[in-house]
Amino acid sequence: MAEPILEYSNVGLSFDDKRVLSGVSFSVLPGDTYILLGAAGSGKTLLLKLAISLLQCDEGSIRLLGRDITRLRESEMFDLRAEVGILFQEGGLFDSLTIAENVGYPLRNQKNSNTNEDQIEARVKASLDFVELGHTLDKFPSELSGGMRRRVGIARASVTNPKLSLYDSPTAGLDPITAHTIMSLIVKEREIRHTTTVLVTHRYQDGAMMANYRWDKNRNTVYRAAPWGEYANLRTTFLVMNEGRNVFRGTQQELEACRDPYVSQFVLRQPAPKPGAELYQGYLPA
Amino acid sequence: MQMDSIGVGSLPIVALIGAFSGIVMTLQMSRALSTYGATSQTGQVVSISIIRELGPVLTALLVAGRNASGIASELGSMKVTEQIDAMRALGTDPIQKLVVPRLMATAFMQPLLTAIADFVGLIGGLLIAVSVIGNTANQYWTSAIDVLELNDMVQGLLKPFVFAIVISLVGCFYGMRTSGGTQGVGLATTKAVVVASVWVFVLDVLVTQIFVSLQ
Repeated sequence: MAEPILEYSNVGLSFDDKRVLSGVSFSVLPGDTYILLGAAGSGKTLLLKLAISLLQCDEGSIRLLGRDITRLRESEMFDLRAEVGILFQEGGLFDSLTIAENVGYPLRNQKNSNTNEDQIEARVKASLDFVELGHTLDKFPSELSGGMRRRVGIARASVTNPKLSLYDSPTAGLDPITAHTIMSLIVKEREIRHTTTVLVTHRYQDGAMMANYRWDKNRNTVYRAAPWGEYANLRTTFLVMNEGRNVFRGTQQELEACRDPYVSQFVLRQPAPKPGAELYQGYLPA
Repeated sequence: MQMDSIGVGSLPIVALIGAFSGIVMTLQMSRALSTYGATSQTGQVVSISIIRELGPVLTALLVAGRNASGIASELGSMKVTEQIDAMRALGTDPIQKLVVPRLMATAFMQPLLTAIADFVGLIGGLLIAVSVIGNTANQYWTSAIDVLELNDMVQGLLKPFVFAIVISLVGCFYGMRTSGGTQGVGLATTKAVVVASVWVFVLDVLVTQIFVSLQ
């Protein structure tokens, strides 16, 4: 069995006297997709920040890419973080830099990046084309909409071809159409670059999309990998957090079957599209 | 860019305050010195006051108000919008990227700004000494320059260097520790200005005491 890319073992965290995470354990294997669901303040974002040691846990241990990062110093983390792409909830773009400079930032500033300026420009352009924003190179983040900033965030997170991609509420506060575009790009990223993915969200639809949709290179769109009413389960695990504790872990099918009053609130049973509806492009047999 | 913002950006206000402090000092001192018939010594008193104390301290307070607040609000905004976390997550050190350039720019520009404030202050004093008190320009300038010793010059340039380090570090410290959204940014900015200003006075006493004991 392959070694986990990310492994939490009995992780606990407190702020002052308030316990915000307790006894969280799970392992993410290469190629896995993990969906972290939970109410606001349940500890989902903290788990992402702990994964790359932006915070340090009080209890338990965390292993990233085979190394125990629980007590690593900040300077020792830089090389490991270069292997991970992260999208922050608000994009986390640098206001004072152009879109091209933002996306090229990790390539120019990471210590182990041996990329020359021509290569950087080419990769920045390719990464922005990937999220269909190749025309925004010289703009500043303030000139873009919220959805576009998230897409630039995805481009920046993926420009180094990371082994692990972390997404913090990528669709929060976006309209359904933009949210669908963002999720399509995340599916595309997973499919094309074979990235291991951990996605924090409070929208069940996001998880369902990761579990059932794939990217069609020819049609340049997502398609459902199983007929409506069936589960594709594309190595996707759902994990539900409640007040810092992991209260559920399982497949989409198990999540929908769960009768826990808290967990079942996150399940949205979507009806099959009406005949002829174009949204989600329907089921396309592989 | 930081040097431009901290140095060039502060230059007009620093020069203005320098000029007015020289003018006011000359007016006040001439009144006191006239009691003893020693108005010809005005240049000496104004020069020592400005070079040793008023120039470094007033410039530092202006830079604390203008730049410590600017640094704290800029870094604070970056903190609450996750830009500093993003910087760390992308494998770069925010201390190297954000704190070091601001510290170096302030440490380099503050002594220069102070020297300019001192010079403009002495010119302001000269204008009043000649036009109001009736000194000759040569008389004022000779007494102002002759009284200065190496100790005064070192003190006058060391103080702004020390103040600059504290002002920039206090601004960066409160900026990087900001939490609580936009309200937190405002709070961090206020704290940075107040704490930096207090430190300017405390360090002024300490450095002055050291130089007094050296004499």
